[in-house]
Amino acid sequence: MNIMETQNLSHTYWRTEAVRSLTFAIPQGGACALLGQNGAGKTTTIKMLMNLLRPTAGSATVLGADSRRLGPAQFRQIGYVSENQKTPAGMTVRGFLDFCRALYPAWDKALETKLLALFQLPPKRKLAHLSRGMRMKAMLLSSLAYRPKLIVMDEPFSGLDPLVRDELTHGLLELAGAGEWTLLISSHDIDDVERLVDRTVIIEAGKLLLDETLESLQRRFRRVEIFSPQPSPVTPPASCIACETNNQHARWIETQYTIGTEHTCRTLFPGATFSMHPMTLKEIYIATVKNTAALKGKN
Amino acid sequence: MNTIQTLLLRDLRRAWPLAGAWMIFAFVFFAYPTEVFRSKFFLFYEFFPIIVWGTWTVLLGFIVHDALPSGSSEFWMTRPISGRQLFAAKMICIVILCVCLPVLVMAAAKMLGLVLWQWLLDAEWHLSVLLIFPRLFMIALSLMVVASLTRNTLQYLLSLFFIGFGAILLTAKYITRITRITPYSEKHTAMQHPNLFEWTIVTMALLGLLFIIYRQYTKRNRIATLASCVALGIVLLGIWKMWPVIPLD
Repeated sequence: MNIMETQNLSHTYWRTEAVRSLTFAIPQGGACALLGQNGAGKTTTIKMLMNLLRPTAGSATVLGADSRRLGPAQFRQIGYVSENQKTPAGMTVRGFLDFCRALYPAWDKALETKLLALFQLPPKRKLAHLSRGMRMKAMLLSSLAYRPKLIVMDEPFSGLDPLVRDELTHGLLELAGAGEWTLLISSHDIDDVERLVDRTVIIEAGKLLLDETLESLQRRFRRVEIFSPQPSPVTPPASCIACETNNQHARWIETQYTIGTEHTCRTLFPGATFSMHPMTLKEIYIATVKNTAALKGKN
Repeated sequence: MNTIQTLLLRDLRRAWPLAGAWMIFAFVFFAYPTEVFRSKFFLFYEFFPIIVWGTWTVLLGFIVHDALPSGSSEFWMTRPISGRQLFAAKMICIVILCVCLPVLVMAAAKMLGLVLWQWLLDAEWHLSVLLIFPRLFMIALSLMVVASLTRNTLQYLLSLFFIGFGAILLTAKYITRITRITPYSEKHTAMQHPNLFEWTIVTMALLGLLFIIYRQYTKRNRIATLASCVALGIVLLGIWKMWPVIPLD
């Protein structure tokens, strides 16, 4: 069952098409990364999913309800953390948590205490007087303590130092082990995101570029290096991107790697030395986006 | 109900210092017999109404801006709080702090002024205190619309300044054409049943503004709210224009 689904979701700001016919789904219990360049439409997509913006076309369902009709019943099961969200600045951390606790019947006081200690938040300090990282931690705590079914995070790590990022990721991973939850996270810190997710959606200029499990991506993407003893022109296979070749040395990214790929390469380039390295999500993302930009440039 | 109560208590707790300050200003302002003190403390009486009503305006904006019904980055929008619940909580808070409290302060101050200064310039002061309630509520609702469409106190105050300035210009230039009411200095007509006219306008404005604010909290559509405000203004001016007048000549 899909906990979140979009069908041709689109949004236009005045004359700018921010999101165009976006269709993807996140199954229950999955953790999905929404990746894309600045201005790709990630935040707009998340805002439409959270009923903060109205789609100009298409539709989305979240927890079985139309995103335009999301109300208190759904938000009791959704934890939303965003860098753009305003915090009730005049409240202390304790006051803020007391306020949030009254809104959620399923609030877990023990988990609140545990996360408060894990994030080292000062309960008596006002939210306005906290650093950006501390404020994000407070927002995350207030969004996790009721054990939401769905957690949506829009750039939660933006502008945070590596230590705070690591603490936030740890907090999330700890919770991931505690129960059934679904995560949608949009971030430019792909290395941190990779530890959390099992699925990736990449959008580019508002359009869906890729929607695949992390396992499948890492299985089919390989960085290939070939060294040929005799100078001869090397023509990489059609499934390759980011090709760099000179007489004896060639490098590219194989996008359809299988067990047979190595054998095919040996047949194509007899006598050459091969190395095929698995790639990280960050490398795959950069290669995919660069390739799309290059294809666009050619067209 | 629980959510409304939580939101209301939070608003009251946050707004209390400003409301307390306002209460002190207002009490002093209403308790002292203006006619006696004006000659002695001229500057004080010139600026005091601005301080009292300015603080009241800021207080109202403070309550609304804490959780705005517009934009897409407000905290409450992704929490189990519906627009209806927020509207109810804000409305109760504004009625308590910006309508009931001023009326109570006014009544208490006038009663105290009566005892201390044997001041009874207005023989029907108790009636005027009661009658101010719907008018004050109407003004509070108008300010609430402006506050709900602006992002912060500065924007809110600037918008009020420009709206006020525009209204003065419009009134000066066009009101006689629109409403058939001649200027006071050259008065040739008088309105029939002026009390009924005033109550009709106040009632229509109250109902219209309540509906507009409710729609803004539930639908969060700024353009629709602005259009509704313009429509309400046209309706009220229309009533004014259609209202029968008696020639005085």
